[in-house]
Amino acid sequence: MSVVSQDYKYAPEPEGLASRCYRTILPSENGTYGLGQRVLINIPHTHNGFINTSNSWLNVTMDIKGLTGNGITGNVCLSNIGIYSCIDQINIISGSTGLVQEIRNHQEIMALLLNNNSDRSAQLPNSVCAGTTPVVRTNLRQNNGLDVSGAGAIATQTYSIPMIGLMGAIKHLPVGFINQGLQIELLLTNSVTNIIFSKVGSATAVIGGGETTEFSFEYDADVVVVNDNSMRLIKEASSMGNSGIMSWSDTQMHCTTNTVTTAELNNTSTSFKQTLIGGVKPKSLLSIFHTGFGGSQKSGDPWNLYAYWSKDFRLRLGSQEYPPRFIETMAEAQSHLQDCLGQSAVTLYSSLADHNSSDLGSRQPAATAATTFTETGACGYNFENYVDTAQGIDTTGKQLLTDVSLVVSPSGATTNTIRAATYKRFAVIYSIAENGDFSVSY
Amino acid sequence: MSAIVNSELIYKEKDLPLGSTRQMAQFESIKGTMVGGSRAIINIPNLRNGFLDTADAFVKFSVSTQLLGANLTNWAGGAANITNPDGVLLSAAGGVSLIRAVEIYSNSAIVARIDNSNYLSSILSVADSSLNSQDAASILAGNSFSQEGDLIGNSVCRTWGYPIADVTGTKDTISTMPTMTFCINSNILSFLGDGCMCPIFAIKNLQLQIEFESDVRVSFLGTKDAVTPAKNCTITGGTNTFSNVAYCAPVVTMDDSSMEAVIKENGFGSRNVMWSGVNHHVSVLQLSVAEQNATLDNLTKLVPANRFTSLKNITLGAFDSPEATGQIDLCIPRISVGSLQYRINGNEYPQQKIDTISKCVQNTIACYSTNSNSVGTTFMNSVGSALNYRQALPTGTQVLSARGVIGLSLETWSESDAVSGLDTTQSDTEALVSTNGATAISNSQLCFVSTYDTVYVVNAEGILSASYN
Repeated sequence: MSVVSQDYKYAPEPEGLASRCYRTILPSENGTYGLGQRVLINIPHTHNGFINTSNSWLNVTMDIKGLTGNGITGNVCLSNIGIYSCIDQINIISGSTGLVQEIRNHQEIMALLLNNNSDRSAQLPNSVCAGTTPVVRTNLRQNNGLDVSGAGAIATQTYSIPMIGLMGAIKHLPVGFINQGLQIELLLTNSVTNIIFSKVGSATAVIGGGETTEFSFEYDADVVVVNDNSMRLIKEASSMGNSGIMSWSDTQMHCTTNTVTTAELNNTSTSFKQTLIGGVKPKSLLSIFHTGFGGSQKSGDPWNLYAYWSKDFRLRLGSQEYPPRFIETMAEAQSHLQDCLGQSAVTLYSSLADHNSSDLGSRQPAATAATTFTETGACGYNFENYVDTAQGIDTTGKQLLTDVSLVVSPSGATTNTIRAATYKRFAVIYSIAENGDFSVSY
Repeated sequence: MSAIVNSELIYKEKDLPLGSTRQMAQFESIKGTMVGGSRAIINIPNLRNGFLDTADAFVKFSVSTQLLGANLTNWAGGAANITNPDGVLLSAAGGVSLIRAVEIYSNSAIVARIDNSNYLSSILSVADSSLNSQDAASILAGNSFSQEGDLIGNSVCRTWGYPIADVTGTKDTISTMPTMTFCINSNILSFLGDGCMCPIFAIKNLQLQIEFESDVRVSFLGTKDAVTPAKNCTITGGTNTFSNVAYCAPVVTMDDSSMEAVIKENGFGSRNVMWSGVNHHVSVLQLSVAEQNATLDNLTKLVPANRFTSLKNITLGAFDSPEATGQIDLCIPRISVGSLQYRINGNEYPQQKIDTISKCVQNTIACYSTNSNSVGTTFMNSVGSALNYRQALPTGTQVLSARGVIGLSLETWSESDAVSGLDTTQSDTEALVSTNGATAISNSQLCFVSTYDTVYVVNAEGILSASYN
């Protein structure tokens, strides 16, 4: 082995695999969609083709019509998560094998990630592409206003948003191997008030109507096509060369919600609430996140993150507590959260949360109150053994419970319930069989 | 049971490096002081056993500018009574706006030329810089500093000090700005700033030439004040004077035995030694007032000299033209078209036009990183960036510097160290743009930045050359 370090070895870069790339748009099955409808986008089989999903995105057009209510002019804001708020669920469906990915509670997941896994620099392009707020210094993100013109209409909005999950993964998606068809399925939210909100209290403005709002969608794909020899090399380098099955590792995130009642939130003495978290029990659970969202009464940004518990937070998995002692402060909660996101160092912190907007015990304001902050409170717990190895804890056959303390807020009792949201991030393995069946296991 | 031991669990000491010393060197211009339009000529000697660590290299220079105009920042009323301190702004692009071109020669033959360096740097800054880096950049290179992300230019006197009371005095019609010093490595130094360990010991007669800007309005602008006429600053002319010009780079000097190992490894002096780099080419075209004010769907502009073996990406930014009041930032790129598509080798890139501002942003991010909500950065935002920008005279104090560029990635394997750009050597590049508007007052300078792979070659005689088409 040479003693000369790489910095002092001079050689031109090698040629990449013989290929060509092009960018194209894959349209949805229908032209326009209404609230609550199902969008399907077919991903075509391309011979020797791959989709560079990390450089592909979803183009969205939103046309809000027929808003009603008094005093809405000048007071209508797009949610802090922007156009992500219009999609309830993202599924990836492949032929007879069915769901390869099912992301329910998509807005809850995006609210967590946009507020806790991005920074003020990313906020600039996000404001253009996703409609998140452009204000970078303060947390007064209700300034994300949309102007209401005549007849309760808002000018047509266009966005281009990266997707989470399989269609936003690091690995190129080998569509040339998938023979059973591949579809992106989007389930749209059923109310315009899940997308926009009034920044002033109900005495001034209440948003109504908007049922005729229209959307259109298309997938803007970066497609790579390699030649036959390159394809042979790819097969040899992948596990497909030996077993005939191509498989690779990735991660997915699921979110489950549970209601916390006003009686529980308004207890005059501290009580502890344990909640059994449903959903998948993955073999390799990497991290857990927890936060709360507003209840059924519409007030404030629908995708505010309320750290609703009063002081203590802990997980129970099987018979063990994680961590052994309660997480008792927002500083600890934020530290655990940053750890989950691989940002646990002062030079790596990347979050829009700050001490004004992530207080423990925050609750949804009354409908009569004006919005003053975009709340960002959340907590997390990391189970990953080694950095970026996707080696987590085996939860097969174990029950997961959250354990929080609750007491009435010092500023008074709340009239709104909380939807507590618990997120599981876990390792998955995608597989494509010799016959082109695409499946997932976790 | 896994047979893999994770990297966190492998405990090893690092190998000792080759014996060498490292010190910061300053290669100075052969001219002491020069005015805008002149060239600084910097000879970089053939240092024995020496390498330039170009990752940490920069060009340093000082500038003092005498401005002519009206209501300029001045202290005619005495030091305690500075008049109109916010009257003069430095372009939001910072000190790089003062550099017109950079050339690198080896043995009197040109190796790299970057014309319109100020445009290039400004476009790449908007395309790929972040607010996180802007704080330090404001100190180093004078880029606009902004907590709110509005990124307006810098007030010269609040940032660098008061005007200089020179022999002409300092008045509201003639005022000499304080001396400002910048350290710049903003993608304009080619292989002298791209991060390679430049084997200067093997290269003969290497020379860096820097051509400075003569038009002060490219770098300075007056603040519009429509309410108080005495604060309405205009700039009509002036002179940039440069001094203290130097190329600064860490020099690694190896001991003889280490040098022998490096020479043996690479074959310096006995055969051609090659390495890869990335370069930029800038083409400027005019989008006329008539073209801007018409509704055109497929206006074709031929992008000249865009022939490269491996074109990685191409980025468009449009710059304003100079106007009489000097109240417009001429170094900030905007998007003056309604849509964009290229035709190269008979194919359209992308297959459907880039026709919304959000597509512009995503396509630009795709040139430099993955399109993630977490890591994607540009200086474009929803308040300031829009299609069909039209130059207009300011009507009030600048509160926001609208910026925008359109990047398009043409590379297949951008995430790996492999040459995989588009071969454009056999074809012209046509830009198909649309326009829609009727308010243009000046031509828009369409500036196309091509980023391409380059192979540098040092032959046995020590002559450096570059190959890219």
